[in-house]
Amino acid sequence: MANQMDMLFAALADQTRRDVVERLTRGEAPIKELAAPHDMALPSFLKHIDRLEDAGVVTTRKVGRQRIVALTPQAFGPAETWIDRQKRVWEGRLDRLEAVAKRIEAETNPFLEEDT
Amino acid sequence: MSFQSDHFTLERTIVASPASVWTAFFDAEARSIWSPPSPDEVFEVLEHDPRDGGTGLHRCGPISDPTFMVETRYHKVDDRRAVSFTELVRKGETPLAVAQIGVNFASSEAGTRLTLDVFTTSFVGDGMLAGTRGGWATSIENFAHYVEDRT
Repeated sequence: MANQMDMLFAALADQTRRDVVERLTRGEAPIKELAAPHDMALPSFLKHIDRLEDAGVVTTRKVGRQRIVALTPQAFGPAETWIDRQKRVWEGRLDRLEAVAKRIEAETNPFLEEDT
Repeated sequence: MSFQSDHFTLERTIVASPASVWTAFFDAEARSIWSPPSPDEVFEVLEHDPRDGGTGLHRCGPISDPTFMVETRYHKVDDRRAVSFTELVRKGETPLAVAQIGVNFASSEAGTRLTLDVFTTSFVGDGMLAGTRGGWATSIENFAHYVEDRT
């Protein structure tokens, strides 16, 4: 497991590979499309894809003459479930709600603001 | 595909009066600030009527493509004390998830003790629901920072 995590971190320790992963969050894509924004030869770009695939971050499959790349959801958080995500969303909301409430409090009761 | 349901409770003490926390929770402009899960996402308040039997309609999602609709129904609103409402998340005509949410606003020595209960059901499994992209983006960002810190 530690080795897998090391491979994952190493795979993401590169801007090109992070760009690829970020693009794939919007859906799978052909390698050519993924390579287009990057100023490098295709063989070099393919090495980045290989690195991501070795780390289990992406999978590739051939469709006709194209190779399609897709994210592997399990790579980032096998234990994270739907409910975990919902909980995290609400925790973030409460953080921001707290900031808004404090601002309202300061605007409606400036003496409290001076005391703190 | 079977539905996935679960429940969680969050508690938070906020150093502000219940009146201020209540206002922050229900003010439409405030809600558009605290609701989006990330700066890349938007939460537009299209309809907003927080009272017993009132409804709300919100559009949310990535700024470039906010295609998720949230239909809210307020079942019971007890001024500055508690609220119970449900949220149905849709993409187009497809219902994705529903949540029953109860929030209690209790006065405490420090200000307000907020207790939030969420019972939620996903209609489309664990991996492809509204918020998934936000969750992904957050995961990736966190990983990127973690990696950058280690390298």
